[in-house]
Formats: sequence, C-alpha cells, structure tokens
Amino acid sequence: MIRSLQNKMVLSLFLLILMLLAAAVISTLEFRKIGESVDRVLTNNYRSIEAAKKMTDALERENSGLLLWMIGDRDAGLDTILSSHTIIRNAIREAKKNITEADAPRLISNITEAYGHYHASVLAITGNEWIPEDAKEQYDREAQEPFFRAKKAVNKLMMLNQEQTYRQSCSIQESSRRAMMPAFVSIVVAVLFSLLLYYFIRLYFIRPVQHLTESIREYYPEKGRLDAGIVSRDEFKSLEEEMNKLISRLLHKREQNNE
Amino acid sequence: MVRYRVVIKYLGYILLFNALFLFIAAMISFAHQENSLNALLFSAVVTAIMGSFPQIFVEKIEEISFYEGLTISVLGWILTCVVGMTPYIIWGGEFTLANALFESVSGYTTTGSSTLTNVEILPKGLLFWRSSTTFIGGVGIILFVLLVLPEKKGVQSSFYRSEVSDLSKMSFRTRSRHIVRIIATVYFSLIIAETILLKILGMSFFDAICHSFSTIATAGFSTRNLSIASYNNIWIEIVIMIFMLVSSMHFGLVYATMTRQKFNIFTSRPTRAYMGVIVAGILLVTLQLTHEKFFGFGESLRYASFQVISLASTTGLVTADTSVWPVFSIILLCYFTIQCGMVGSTAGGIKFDRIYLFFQSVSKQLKLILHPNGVYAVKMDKQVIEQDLELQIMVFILLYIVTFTITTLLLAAMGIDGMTAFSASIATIGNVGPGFGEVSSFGNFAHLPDAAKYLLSANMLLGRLEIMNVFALFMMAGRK
Repeated sequence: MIRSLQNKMVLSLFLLILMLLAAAVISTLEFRKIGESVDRVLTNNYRSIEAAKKMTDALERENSGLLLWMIGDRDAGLDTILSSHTIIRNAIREAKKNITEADAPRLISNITEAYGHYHASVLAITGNEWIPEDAKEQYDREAQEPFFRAKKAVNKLMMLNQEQTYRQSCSIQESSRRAMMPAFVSIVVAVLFSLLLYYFIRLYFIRPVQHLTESIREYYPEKGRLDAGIVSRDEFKSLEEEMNKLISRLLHKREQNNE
Repeated sequence: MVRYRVVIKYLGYILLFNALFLFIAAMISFAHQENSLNALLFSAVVTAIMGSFPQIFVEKIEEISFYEGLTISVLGWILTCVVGMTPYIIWGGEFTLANALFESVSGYTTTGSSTLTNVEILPKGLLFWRSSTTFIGGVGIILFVLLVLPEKKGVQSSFYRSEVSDLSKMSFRTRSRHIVRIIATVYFSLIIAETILLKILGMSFFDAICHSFSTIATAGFSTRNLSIASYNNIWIEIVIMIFMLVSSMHFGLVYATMTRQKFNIFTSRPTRAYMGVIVAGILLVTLQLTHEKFFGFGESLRYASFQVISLASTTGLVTADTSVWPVFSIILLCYFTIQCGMVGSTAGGIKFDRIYLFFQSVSKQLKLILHPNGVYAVKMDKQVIEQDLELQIMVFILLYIVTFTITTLLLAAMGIDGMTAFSASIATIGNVGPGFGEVSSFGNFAHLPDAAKYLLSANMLLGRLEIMNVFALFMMAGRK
C-alpha cells in the first residue's frame, strides 16, 4: 500500500504517461503498416501491373509483326517482332524484380515458358521461305494457340496483382482505422482518468486541508488534542500529528511560564 | 450511503481481471502473428492502467455494505461490457460501435447472439477474447473477483447477496463462503472435462477450449460460421448436449452429484421435473419433424435433442436451421427460450425453478379459493418457500414479461417483423442467443438497425442482472 501522497501522484502521472505512450506506439506501428501497404501497392503491385500491361501490348505487337510478315511486309514485320521481343524480355525481368505474392514466381515462370514457346514458333515461321498460303497454315497450326496461352498467362499475373492492390487498399483502410482508434480510445480514457484524478485529489488533498483548516479555526486550548478527522496515513496525518505535538509543546511551555 | 471510492476500487479489480484475459488473447495473437495483436495489447494495457489507478489511492477496505455491493455488481457488469468492446472496435472489420457493444454484451451475458456474418475470418486472438468474455461472464465477473479477494466476511457476503439470488442459495447446503469455491470447482472441472473430450473427438485444441467455454457458460459463441453443424459429428454433438444440460443445472447439485452426496441432481425434484420437461419437448419436436417428413426418426431425434437442450439451457449452439421447422415445434422452442435453465447455473432467463414454483403458487391459490381456511405451502425440495420469496418470484416473472413485451413493441416500431422482434426479445433477455425469423439459428443480428442493437444489448444486461437488481439500484439512486 502506497502511503505517501507524493508517490501516489507520481505513480498516477506515470500511469497516464504509460497509457499515452502505449497509444503513441500502437498508432505509430499502424501508421508504419499503412506506409508499408502504400509502398507495396505503389512500388511493387503497380510496377507488376505495368509490366504485365507492357507484356500484353508487346505480345499483341509481336503477333501483328508476324501478321505483317505474312502479308508480305517482311522487313517491317521482323523489326516489330524483334522490338516486341526485347520489350517482353525487359517486362518479364521487371516483374521478377517486383514479386510480392507467393504465387507470382510460378505465374512468371508460366509466362516465360508460354512466351518462349510462342516466340519459337514465330521464329520458325519467319525463318522459312515466304509462301503466303503455307505461312497462314503454319500460323494457325503452330503460333495461334501458344499466343493465346502466353496472353492468358500474362492476364493471370495482372489479375493477381490487381487483386493484391485491392486487398492492400482495404488493408490501408483498416490500418488507418486501427491507427486512429488507439488515439480516440486514449482521449476518452484520459478524460475518465482526469475525472478520477480530480475525484481523488478532492478526496485525499483538498478535503484534508479543509478539515485541518476547519479544526484549527475551531480549536481552543481546553480541547487538548486537535482532531481533524484524517483517516489516511499520508502526509496530512503526519501534519496533524506534528500539529498536535506542537500544541502539546506550547501548552507545556505555557504551564511552565505560569508556574 | 454508498462510498464511491470503495465502488471505484472494486471496479478497478474487475478491470484488472479483464486485463488478464486480454493479455492472454494478445499472447495468442502474437504467437499466430495476427493483425489483432495491437488492438488486444493496447486494450490490455489501457484496462490494466485504469484498473491499477484506484488501487494507488484507495486504502484497504474491511467491509462493504449491501448497497455498495449492489452498485459494484451492476456497474461492474456495465463497465466490463464497455471494456470488452475495446479490442473489437480498434480491430475494425465488421465491428462498428453498435456491433462491438452488442458482441461484447452478448459474450459477457453469455447470450451468444452475434452481429458477425463471417466469424471464421476473425484472428485467433480475437476469437479467444470473444470466448473469454463468455468464460468470464459464465459464473459472473463478481464471483471471479470474490475468488481472488482475501476472505473478508463483510466484503464477500455483500457481493454474494447482490450477485446470487435467494432462490439459488437454497440448493447450496453449505455456508455461503464455501459456495463461491463450489461454483468455481464445478465450472473449471466441467470446462477441463469437455475440452479433453472434444479434443479426443477430433476438434482442434483451440476450437475445443473455445467451445467448452461457450458450452459451460451456456453462451453459444462458436469459432465456425455454421456452429456445431460444421463438424457434422454426432459424438461431438452428444458430448456438447450432455455438458449443456449439466451446465444449466444448479452447480450446488452438480457438485453434490460429483462428490456422491445423497441430495443431488437425480434426487432433487425440480431438477427431475426440469429434465422431464426437456425430454417431453425433445419427443414432441422429434415426432413432429418425423411426421412432417423433415427428417427420418433418427435424424429428427438428433436435431430435436440438440436444439431443445441448446435453447432450454440458454446455450444457443446450433446444428439445424430451426426457422424452417413446423410452427408447433417453433412454439415449443419459444417456450424453452422463455423457460431457460435452472437457478444456480450459468443459464440466464426466468429459470425453470421460478416456473416450477409459479405453478405451485397458482395451484395453492386455487386451493385457497375452494378451502379458504386451508394451510398450503409452496415447496422446493421439502423446503417451504416463504411468502416474501413467493411474492418476489411472481414480481420477477411479471417484470420479465413486461420487459420483453416492451422490447418487442419497440423493435416492431423500428420496422422489424413480429416474429423476429418477439424472438429477438425473448432470446436476448433470456441470454439464449438465436431466435427465429431473421435472427434464426443460422442467421444473425447484423442486419438490425443500430438502435435495435443497443436496445437488445440493454435487454441482455437486464436479463443477466435478473432485472430486479437494476431496478433496486435505480430505486436506491432515486431515494438518495
């Protein structure tokens, strides 16, 4: 049991500070989570989505290049195929650097495999002599299916990242609430704490002072002891006891003088 | 006169007790690296700080008055429910202010009604906290506090008078200071036994302990969206049925049975009558379900047994969608929702003993009309019930009916359909859990307006505090 008023006050303030610190730490942690989520969305997921978009565009362009080659515009076709191939390889490299999902490596490996198959068939078609009828037949037979497979694989990666972006956005919303709520709870609790502290100050500080003042005002030497009715065992009790000692010393002195 | 510093000191103890469970839930969250850790940890720290604060200033208390005990009891429950919602509201998800308060009150009052549409997405730490509220509320937060307090006669007896009803004290054939220990012994023994059995029958340890808390506290919270139905295991259902039934009986009698005393659950007449009524209810519902070709006889018996025991014991765990059952069965289940378990148990509501005495009292009055000079007594296991207690029971039943009627009317005024309003009202005041209509066994209270959720939360608290205590406190405050 803590008897000293000073210790009681120090401990109360320590508890208040502890609570505010806890709120600050929790809010900071949640804000950090928000920062990490935003970083994930902006840096990794957004980049992966962009890489997937580039892959889709480049795939379409490579296919267009092949079609250009097939209709006879062979040089322009080959240029388009080669530039698209470079774009796709760079995009795959970029996607590999921004992996955030457990499933992403598998999807990227699927894309690499499907695109490799498609690109091989493109090279096989363009490596042959240009005969329009044969090229069309070969395209239907060898290139079309791998093209759709590669496009599907890229779409899956894009969808995965889009879903992740949505999840992260929801998590940011939740985290912002979780970061805000400790502060809100702390404010409410701090108000209650202050009211309680006020009640205790009134009960254990102001009331004893009032009682002491009142009993001193109504004191006369014939009463003997000064009784302020303090039941606590704190500094006020000591003060009451010291005042009684002082009174008895004064009374003793007066008796000595009278003698 | 109520000494507020005394009230504040004991409310502090109650907060500290809650903080202990919040810390345990936070540790579970930490072990599973869940996103509920911060919410639980912060709630635990704040609750512990607010609980410790009065202990710094207020000196040791040697004795408290009955009025102080009553004030601590009522305010303790309210404060506990408010504190209980803190982790929910910080965590977020489906927990709005109204939902968080409803879930907290539902847990502490062992009602088991929920506003959550998907329980399975809750982190384990939060699920444990949700189950802990039922565990704490099961025997009453005040009795828990009594357990940890040093044995001071004045303190314990005042709490005891305000927390345990006169009727409940009758079947405890021992001195009042031993009763708290008997309640705790039975409570913990049943929880341990059920957890072991459920674990053996295939539940995970976490699910087993959460369902044990829920069963023994007769609460009804589950860790699964489909409650017990999701396990589809008849042995699990049988174990839970047995424990629900035992938990709804007087703990003094359960203790006597455990220690092989002569006066036990099999020799107590009200308990035998209680079991008789439940058996009759199961048979009637089974026969109707079979007759109406809902299920075959075996399955009808299985589902009827579970649902009747679940509602009669005020647990509210579920294995079937009762809202589609025939009207007669629904009416029977509504009766069990009103009747509830027995006094001295963790069950809420009117309690079977009061209905048992009510009918004896009615019979006595009818006999007195025929023989005005006759001497007739209302008895509970050979103990004659005093006129005062008889009148108290009548008043309690009347107040109970008035309260749920007013709640039903208010809910209907909010645009809620009759069946939902009535069943939500009786299910919450009786601390049962599921109702019928839109708040049926597989449904929830999520779609109700916020005002209805606040009203039903108050209803649950009134039911848990047995109405009279709250009115007594208001009268006391009014008199002051």
